[in-house]
Amino acid sequence: MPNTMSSIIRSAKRNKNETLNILTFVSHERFEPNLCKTGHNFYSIITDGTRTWKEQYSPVPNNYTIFRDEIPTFISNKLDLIISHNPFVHIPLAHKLGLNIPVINIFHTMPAPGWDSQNIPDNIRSMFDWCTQHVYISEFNKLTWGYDRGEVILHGIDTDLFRPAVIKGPVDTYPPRQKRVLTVANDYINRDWCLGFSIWNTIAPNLPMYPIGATPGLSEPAPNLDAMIKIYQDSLVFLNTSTASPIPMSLLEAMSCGCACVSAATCMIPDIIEDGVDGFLCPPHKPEMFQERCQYLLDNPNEALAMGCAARRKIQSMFGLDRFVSEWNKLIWSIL
Amino acid sequence: MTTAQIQYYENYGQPEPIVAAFDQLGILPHSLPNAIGMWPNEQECLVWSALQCNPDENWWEVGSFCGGSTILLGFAQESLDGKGNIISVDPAPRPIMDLNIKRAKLNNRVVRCKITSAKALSKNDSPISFLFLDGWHSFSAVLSEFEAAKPHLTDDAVIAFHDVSPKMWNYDKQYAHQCFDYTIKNWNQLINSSEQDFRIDEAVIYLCKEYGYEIINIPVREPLAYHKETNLDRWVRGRTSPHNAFTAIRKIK
Repeated sequence: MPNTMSSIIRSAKRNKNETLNILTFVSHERFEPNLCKTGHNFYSIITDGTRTWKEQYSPVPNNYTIFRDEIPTFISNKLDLIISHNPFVHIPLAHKLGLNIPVINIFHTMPAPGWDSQNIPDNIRSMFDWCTQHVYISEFNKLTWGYDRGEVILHGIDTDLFRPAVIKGPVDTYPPRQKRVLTVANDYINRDWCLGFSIWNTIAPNLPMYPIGATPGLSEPAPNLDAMIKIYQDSLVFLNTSTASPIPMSLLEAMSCGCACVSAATCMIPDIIEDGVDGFLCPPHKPEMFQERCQYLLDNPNEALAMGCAARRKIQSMFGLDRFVSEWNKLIWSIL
Repeated sequence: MTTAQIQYYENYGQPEPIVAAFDQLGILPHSLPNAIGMWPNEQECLVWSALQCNPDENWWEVGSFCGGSTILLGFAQESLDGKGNIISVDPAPRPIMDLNIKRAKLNNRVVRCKITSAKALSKNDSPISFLFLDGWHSFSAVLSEFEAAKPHLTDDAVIAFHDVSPKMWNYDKQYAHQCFDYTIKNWNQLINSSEQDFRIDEAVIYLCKEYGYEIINIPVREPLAYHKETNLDRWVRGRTSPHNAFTAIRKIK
């Protein structure tokens, strides 16, 4: 088991800019590989209440090692930092380990309905206060929590990986895309309250829908990441009906792959999509508008492709991976 | 500026394009954490009422919440090329309001007052052509806000209220008499006691009778159909009215 003394020794011996050893917990298969691009060593424990890594969503990065139940002592003695991805599960686990090293908590989501951002219970505030630093994935979700400590680091998207298909030639061209409306969501039906399945369900009979994701009775997830990227590349229109996700990763990936996106105007999305320029925004209470916009793009594929190109440019400028890695490294070193 | 924002300039003086522009900002009706406590039809009523007012004078609202109605008023005033400001008063607005105002590009038009309505209105020295009361709904709160604003209300000012009952919206004359009778009979209790019951209907009728105002007939395209939480016939704190709970009054000419 790790102990406080080993943490103190490690802290004293640490050289500036050396590769760090970071303890974390499996959480987001698409987010964590980007965090791994900071170049540090990541060690993850799978224990009660934590998830396992699903290779289907993304391969485990080379510098990410997963242990079951306990981290070996020879590794725990040289840990520099803990990163939590879930304040209510990972922070208590980190606390239980009893390590005397900094803890960064990432708020990936918005609080559950009923959360009173103006009156955070004392016990929860104390738990948050125990962390060295907090990171929010958008200004929007920072405001919804009502906890003022922490900084915003926007997602990074690997735009070399998530890119449109190109036919190489004297002049590169884009192959035609299938006239279909892609959605990517897991457990879509049961999570209607936050993913807006009822919007999808209302318009589905009238459009060539192509749902992807682990939703029993509706759809299956892509078999692997390459296949998922191919699905993005082949789809003309991407539909995001999510109403309670600060920044849906699938929307960013679809934009990066050049899909023309029709999205619910919620959370941070109005700050990403400029309506009619790099996507279409629709209010969640108007499903007919989602349908009209999707149909318009299916009927006007050239405009859809142009919108998809604009969407990709937006992702490159706003969600670049270099910026993400640089901001994360700056934050990590600032608290050590 | 978004497509919808450009569109509303092409529909000068109409509420629908303004509500459409608002719809793109991600502020959802009755759905926290970024909510507006008004259904879309109520939003149209608010905008329509504001569009009847002089946009070169200041428009006031009491009760900012997340800034949704502030933005609707800001868009309405901009659509009329108004030179006035939106003064939004709330001692404890939701922090997300600042993001919403910034997103709507209304930072130069909206003035946020994080103090009580009584304090804010007592410091005012400019004419008010539109006053939207959506704060605390007791009889005495509404009346004191009106009286603080009264010296500055222009002759054709519109005073709007949210969370009235549907009978008010339809202007049921018999109901109006009942409200007024109740007010007169319970005057001492309503005005002096610490009673915190929501008596906004009675307050509206009282203002009409005492100060010579009348309820404006607001054209609405379609009836409300958002019966998701309650079948109450008037708003109760913590419960969302499924009805159009907006009304507005103006001085009888």
